[in-house]
Order: sequence, then structure tokens, then C-alpha cells
Amino acid sequence: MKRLVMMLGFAGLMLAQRVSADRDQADQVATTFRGYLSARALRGPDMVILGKSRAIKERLRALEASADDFERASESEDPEARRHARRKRQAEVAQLNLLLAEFGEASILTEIERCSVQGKIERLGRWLSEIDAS
Amino acid sequence: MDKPSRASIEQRVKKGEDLARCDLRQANLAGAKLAGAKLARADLEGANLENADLSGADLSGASLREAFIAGANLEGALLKKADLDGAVLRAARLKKADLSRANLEGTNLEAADLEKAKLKYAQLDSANLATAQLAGANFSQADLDSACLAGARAERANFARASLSNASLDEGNFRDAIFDESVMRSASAKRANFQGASLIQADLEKASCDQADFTRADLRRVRFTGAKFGKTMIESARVFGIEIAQVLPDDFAGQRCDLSREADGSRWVTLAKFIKNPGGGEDGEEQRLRRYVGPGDILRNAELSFENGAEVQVDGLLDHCELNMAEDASLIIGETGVLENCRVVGGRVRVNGCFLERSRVGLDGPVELVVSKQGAVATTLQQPATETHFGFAAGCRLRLYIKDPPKPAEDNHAAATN
Repeated sequence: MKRLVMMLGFAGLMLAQRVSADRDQADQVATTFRGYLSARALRGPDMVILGKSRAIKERLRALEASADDFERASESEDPEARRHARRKRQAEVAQLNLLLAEFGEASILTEIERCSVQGKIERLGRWLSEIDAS
Repeated sequence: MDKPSRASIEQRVKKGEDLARCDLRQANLAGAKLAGAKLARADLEGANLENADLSGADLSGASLREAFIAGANLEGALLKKADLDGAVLRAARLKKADLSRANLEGTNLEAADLEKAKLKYAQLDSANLATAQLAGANFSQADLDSACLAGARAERANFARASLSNASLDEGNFRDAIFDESVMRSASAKRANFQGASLIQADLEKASCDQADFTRADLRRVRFTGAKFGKTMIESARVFGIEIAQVLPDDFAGQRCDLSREADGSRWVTLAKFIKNPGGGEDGEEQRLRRYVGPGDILRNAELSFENGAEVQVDGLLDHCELNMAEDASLIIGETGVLENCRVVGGRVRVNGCFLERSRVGLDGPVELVVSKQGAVATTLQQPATETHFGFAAGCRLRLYIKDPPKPAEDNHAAATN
């Protein structure tokens, strides 16, 4: 983890060189992970008081919004708009996966990996209801 | 209505039942044995087909949007016009599969085996083909903009007329592959292997070619405007008509290239000498065949004739001129070049600037007319008896009235001989 945090301290280009990856992908990884780290740093005592479900619900709402944006963009004739919306949706999926990993929810994480984005949203919605009910 | 179970689907496939248009959305068919299944136009959106056996299956026109198909066997499967938008096909086996005109936008094909697969006209915008096996695959006229082909093994693959703008080809193996007339603007091809590849008339404007290897490649008429080179290999490449920056690293420019029009090895020059004199004038013959009208030069009311093998580049203005070109003479109108109210008879014409002659036939019997993205042509073109070969880049501006070739005067000839 410490090593990964150090690696992501580099700019996208440096990271790409370091791990021999494509520049775009490296940029995406760096942005996603930096976003996750800063969100984690800003988390207050709410997490302890209100539990993990609240944090996951927030991320899920963000994923739903980006999925809606993607649906709208996929109707568009503008490939750049589609690309942008797809990347944003991918980034939201990555943020959600990171959060689930942080909470040690490996089982649901493995399950939703095989689902479509809509499938992920529905399955996580049900899973959160089960948590809230228990 | 309940969705059919995995066991019942396998049973129906075993019996050879036609499952065309079957609704299998979100179905869990992981590891299912579906070889030879008839699933044309079936709806498998979001289905889990991980490690399923779909070899030889007919999935033409099927919807597999965001399906999870990692590790599946799709060898020889028919996926023509299938919708695989956002699907995960990581490490899937697609050898000899037919994916012509399929939608693969944003599809994850990382480490997939697509050897000899057909992907003509396929939509692969933003697809991930990193480290995929693409040897002998056909991607001609496919859309691969912003796709990732980093580390792909694509020997002898065909990318003719494909669009690869902003794509990543870093460290890919494209040995003996075909990229003729492809558009690779701003693509990244660092450490990529293009040995023996054919890139005739490819557009690599602003591409990154650091440490790329173009040894023995056919680079005739390639556009390398604004491309980046560092430790790039170009030894023994064929470079006739190449468009390249005037200032290049010494280790790159010092390499020897074949400048002959027919790429037959009859004229060898160093790239540095070629840049200094694009006509390649190592001998007097080349100098004699080269004509150049530079930026700011103006030529009015002139009549010019050019013999076979001549190459005329116009970066200035030609006004009310008549150019008589032999069949194998070339006229290149550079990006700053303008031909106004001129008539060009015969020859091969490439327009990167402007050709404007609205009142009469401006292009009379050209063997070839190629207009690049920056080019603009407004005129009437009379085709020769052998018909003109046309090439129009997306984004070029045309107001072109094309006249059919003159009909062979057989009747007249017969009457005359009688």
C-alpha cells in the first residue's frame, strides 16, 4: 500500500514509465487513486458513527449519476462525449471497488465484478438494504 | 415469465434448437457448454458467460452489451454486427471469429486471442486490446480511435484504411502488418515494431515514434508532419513522397532509405539528404525531375509540361496556368499551395492545399486524385478512359463534379474501317 501511495505521488507520465503502462491508463489509475486517497483523508468521524453503508451509498449514487450520463451520451453522435462519459463511469466503478476493498468486502466485490454496471447498481442496492435491515 | 435455466439452455443447444432472439439478459451461463449454439439476435445483455464454450456459435446481431465473457471460447464464432459495447472479453479465445461490423466500443479484450479474426468495419473506439494476440487479423476500415493496442502481437494483421487516432500502439509487434491509408494522428507508437510493415499513404501526424522500428517498412507518401522521433529506426525503409519535418535527430536522419517511386531499391539516399532535397538528388537525373514552387512564389499565365517520373510540389500560387503532366508525373499541392483557375491534364494529383477552377474542367484525365484532410477542391474532373483512382480523407472539402470516362468510340472506329 505504502509503495502504491508513493508510486501515485508521481505524475501520470512518470507512473507510465515506471510500470511500462500506456499513458492514458496510467493517468486514469493515478487520478482514481488520488481521488480515493483525498476522499479518505477528508472522511470525518461520521464513518465510525454511521457505518460504512452511508459511504458506500454515496459512491453508489455517484455511480448511478455517471451511468445515467453515459446512457445519455451513448445516444449522441459525438464519439468524444461517449469516450468522456465512459471514462467517468469507469472511474466511478473503480472508486466503488476501492471503497469495498478498504472495508474488506471481498465477497460482494468478486460478485459484482461479473455484473454489468446496471447489475452492479441493483446488486449493491439489495446488499445495502440487507445490511441496513440486519 | 421465468428465464430459462442454464441446464435447459445447454439441453436445447445440444438438440440443435434455434435460440434466435432468445431473451437471456443477465443470465448466469458461466462455464456453459454452448458450442455451435444458434443465438442470432439473442439478447444476452449483462449475461455472465465466463469460461463458456461458444465455439462455432452463431451470435450474429446478438446483444452482448456489458456481458462478462472472460476466458470464454469463441473460436470460429459468428459475431457479425453483434453489440459488445462495454463487454469483458479478457483472455477470451476468438481465433478466426467473425466480428465484422460488430460494436466493440469500450470492450475489454486484454490478452484475448484474435488470431486471424475478421474485424472489418468493426467499431473499437476506446477498446482495450493490450497484449492481445492479433496475428493475421483483419481490422481494415475499423474504427480504433483511442483504443489501446499496447504490447499487442499483430504480425501480418491488416489495418488498411483503419482509424487509429490517439490509439496506443506502444511496444506492439506489427511486423509485416498493413496500415495503408490508415489514419494514426497523435497515436503513440513508442518502441513498436513495424519491420517490413506497409504504411503507404498513412497519416501519422503528431504521432510519437520514439524507439519505433520501421526497418524495411514501406513508408511511401506517409505523413509524419509534427511526429516525434527519438532513436527511431528507419533503415532500408521505402520513403518516396514521405512528408516529414526538416529537423530530425541525427541518429534517425543518418539512416539509408530507398527513394525509388516503385520501391524497387533503384535509388538509395540517407534520410538527411532526402530532407535537404525531397527529390532525392543524389544524381542529376533526380534534380532534373524535381520542380518546386515555394511559399510566396506566384506563377501566372504559364504553360508547363512535365515528363514521366517528374514531381512538382506547389507551396505558392499558380494562377491561370496549364500543366500538362505525363501519366507517371506527380503534382503535390502543399498545405500553403493554391492553384486558381488552372487546368491540369493527366498525372497523379495530391491536394493538401487548394485547387479552385469552377468555370471549366480543371482536372482533365488524372490517373489519381488524393485529397488530404486539409485539402480543398472545387472543380470539374473529367476521368480518363482508365478511370481515376480517388482517395478522399475525412474532413477534406470538395465541390467536385466528376465526369464519367469517355465511351470507347467502337462504333465510329467500326464505321471508319468499313
